[in-house]
Amino acid sequence: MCVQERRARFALAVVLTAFVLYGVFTAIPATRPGATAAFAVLALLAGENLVGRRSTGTIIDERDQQIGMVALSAAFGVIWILLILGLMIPFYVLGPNGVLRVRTTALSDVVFAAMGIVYIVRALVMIVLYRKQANG
Amino acid sequence: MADGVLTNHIRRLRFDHDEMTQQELADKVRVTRQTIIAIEAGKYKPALVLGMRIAKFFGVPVEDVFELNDEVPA
Repeated sequence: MCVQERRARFALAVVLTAFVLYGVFTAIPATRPGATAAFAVLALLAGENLVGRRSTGTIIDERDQQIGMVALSAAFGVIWILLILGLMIPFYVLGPNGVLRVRTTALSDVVFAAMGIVYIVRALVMIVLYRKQANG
Repeated sequence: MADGVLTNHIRRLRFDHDEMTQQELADKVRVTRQTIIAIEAGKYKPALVLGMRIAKFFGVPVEDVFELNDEVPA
């Protein structure tokens, strides 16, 4: 397993942990108001580049860059679709004059969740492409 | 990323060069071992620069390392 694949798996584990914690905090009434705090786990993503830092030789080459670009394109495509759906669905459900009331923490939840989805899709695409080339 | 159009003889060239390992070749051409594995298995088509770097390292023309199995109209 190459360093980039290990980093992708690390990022996937961190983001999934954040989402699971968010779900748990939301499910428990006592912790529901502060559920957004679960996304603090995403700070660990800063350590992604520390994974495999002690590996010798080339860590990132042209193939890794190519796979990274494909993964980022896929992540952008997914989040773009979700953004459009997120804007269109309320419009069609509530109508042009509809009013949607949300918690003040909803915006930060959406932003963190969107970032998490980008990381998840990117990591999954990278892992799939690396496994495909390793195993066929 | 690979479709059988481009085949290569890197494994044979490695063995002909004192049974060089994939890691040793990867270090010489500045890529990861997994990239060499993917190239040899035909699952990844290297960029021109990497292909020429491999050929230059083995001291053979690029055509002796990679083979294009594709019908090109005259």
